[in-house]
Amino acid sequence: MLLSQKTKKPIGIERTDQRWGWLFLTPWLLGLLLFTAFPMLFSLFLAFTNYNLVPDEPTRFVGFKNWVVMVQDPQMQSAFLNTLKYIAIVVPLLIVSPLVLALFLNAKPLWLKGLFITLFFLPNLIPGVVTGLIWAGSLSPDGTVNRFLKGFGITPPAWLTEAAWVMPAIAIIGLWSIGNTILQLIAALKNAPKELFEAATIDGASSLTMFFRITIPLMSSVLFFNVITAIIGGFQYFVVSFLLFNGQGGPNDAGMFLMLKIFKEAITYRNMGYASAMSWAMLLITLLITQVLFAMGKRFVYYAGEEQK
Amino acid sequence: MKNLRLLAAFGIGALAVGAMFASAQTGRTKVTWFVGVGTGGQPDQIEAEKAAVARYNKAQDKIEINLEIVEYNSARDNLSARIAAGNAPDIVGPVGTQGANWFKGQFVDLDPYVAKFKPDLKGIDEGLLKFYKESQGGEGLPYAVYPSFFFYNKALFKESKLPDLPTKVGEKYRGRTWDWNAVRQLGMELTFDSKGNSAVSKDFDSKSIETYGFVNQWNLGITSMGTAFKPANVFQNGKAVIDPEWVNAIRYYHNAIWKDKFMPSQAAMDTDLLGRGNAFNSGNVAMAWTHLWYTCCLDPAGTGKVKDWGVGVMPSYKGKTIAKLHADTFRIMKGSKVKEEAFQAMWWIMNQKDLLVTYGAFPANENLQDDYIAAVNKKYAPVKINWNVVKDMLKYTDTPSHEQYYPNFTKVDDIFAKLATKVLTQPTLNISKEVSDTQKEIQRAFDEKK
Repeated sequence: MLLSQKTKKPIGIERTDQRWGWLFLTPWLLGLLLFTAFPMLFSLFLAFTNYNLVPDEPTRFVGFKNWVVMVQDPQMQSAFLNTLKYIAIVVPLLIVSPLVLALFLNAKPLWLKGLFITLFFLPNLIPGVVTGLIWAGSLSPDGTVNRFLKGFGITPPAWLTEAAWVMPAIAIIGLWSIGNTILQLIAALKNAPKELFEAATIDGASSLTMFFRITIPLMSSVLFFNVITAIIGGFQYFVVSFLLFNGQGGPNDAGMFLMLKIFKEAITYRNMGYASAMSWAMLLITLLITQVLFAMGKRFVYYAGEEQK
Repeated sequence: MKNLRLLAAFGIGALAVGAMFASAQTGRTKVTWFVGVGTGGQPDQIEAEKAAVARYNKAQDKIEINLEIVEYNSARDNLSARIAAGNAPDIVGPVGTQGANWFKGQFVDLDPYVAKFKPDLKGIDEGLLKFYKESQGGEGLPYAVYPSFFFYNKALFKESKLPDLPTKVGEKYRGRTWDWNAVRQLGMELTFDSKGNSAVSKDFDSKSIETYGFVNQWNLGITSMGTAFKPANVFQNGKAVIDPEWVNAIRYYHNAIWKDKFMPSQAAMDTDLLGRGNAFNSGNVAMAWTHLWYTCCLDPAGTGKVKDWGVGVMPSYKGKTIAKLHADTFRIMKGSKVKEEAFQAMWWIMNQKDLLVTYGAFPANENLQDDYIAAVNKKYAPVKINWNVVKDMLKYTDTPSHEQYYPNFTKVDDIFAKLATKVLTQPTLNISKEVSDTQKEIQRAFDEKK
């Protein structure tokens, strides 16, 4: 009965509604086809050509050459490793530090909570380009950070000219804009049902047990969302590294990330075919990682209202 | 209601007048002048460029120049994107050989426009016209040359009781050949720590250097470093070659920074002490090897930190003196839809004396040279510039040029830049291995274009 209802052709008002629905959807669908689907498919085609943005030779089909070059390209290897390093080191920092701060800001005895939350959120209002420029100046040899360290008698490192210090510098810059995650985590904390904590207290659970057994599971969906977006953000990391090193990748390519490498190949070297291949490779890797995470999420992430199997 | 109608009528009238004004404006052919892939982006230069454009647009009613200035570091990408989008500017310049190599094949041959508009080329040396024709395929007319030589801070030399630098090729310095070894020795004698110990002293503290002996002022590319020792081709019969003398040059510079300490590292150059990059102008560097265009950024004696400076000839290497040359011109892009108008505007720009001075550009046109020299002398008075050094260095230019073309030019340029960054930032560096890796990487870049 249900099946027959589903397959039944719409009639009368239903059909009119459907037409109107399609009519309203058309501009968006056209936009999707023209500006997203078509360029994506076209870039897949380009990934197998030598297409140059400013043609200096005829465009021709080159098979898997771009993909082979990608595997052998040492700068691509650096970019890939740096991106993974960023995801492995900086992303956990971008999750753990907001969590700690959110717990601190949610604590009852704290005064001026609103002020602190505002201060932590303020950097999020600053555009990425401005952030990059501010930090490029702050981390320069005579910048604010080094002056501060010198004030305590500490010999400051060469943040942007010594390869080993590039990732710590990028991590510091990343911490600058954790306000958004803090806000989301505070909201999740405030939504946590109090009765669960009360029951646990009556049962004699310690604070640590309550944190790991109640707080974290209740916040797991928000944490999971932030992990996913931070990893995707890691693969798309570009503006700050571009500004810090004038688009050059920094000392020993320590500031070369996948997105920057793609940008350089596409725009600076104008190798659009090769850049397209790299973009698809990045998409596939991101897709794979997020799929693995979603599969893991089914086990570890708790969604309120969802039926537990 | 009546008021509303009146207001609407007034509005429509205003729009009509605006439209008439706009149509009068668009009646002129618009020519876009793109500045950024060479010199031209310093604040003083921008002012001079704006003033020149205003003069041109006011002086005639056929062509209107639209000035677009892009910061040097992003100009290359900006122009690439514009060409790809079919929105190429009309005139590009000043642009040197390297800048033009980034966009090889994107500029028009000017011969038909020279034949049509017959610009006065009498003041330009025949040899120079031939050089531009051969090296740039008729895409650029001789505009400005920038020989390279040594600038030195006379006050710092006097403090150390050292004689002035040689002003003629072959002249001895303190009784010894003026070569890169002499530069090393002199550089160390002119490098001082906070306690006044020089780099040749046993008590010298390299962590508190206050005055450096030498800097390659904005001249730190591997091809530049190498060419000072020996001009050589990187692309030879399809192979990537880094000449052994270039390896010696790289080792020399690495030692100068990290062992002999008479040259600043990148981190040192970025400090306030060394003017955040404009090191010689900070007054804390005794000698700078750079090009004539550096007059763009060296403050006049009255207001600057370098009160008295001189110029000296390039040192020799194994008996040969090489003074690498930068040659700038203006070009018209193939994508321009108004090439004839662009040519007329470009020729006018190329003959503006104030622009030549602000670019620090020694005019290729002999008719403009005296005015240029007088203007630069006036800017730096009472410093007396020895123009014979500048002119003599034009006789020792680099062939093949350090700005030579090779396949996948922009990428290879960046590969060289990566090695240069390592020289400037890494105290311990296995030069032989780094050069070998760089050569392999360049070969890969060449092969990409096969």
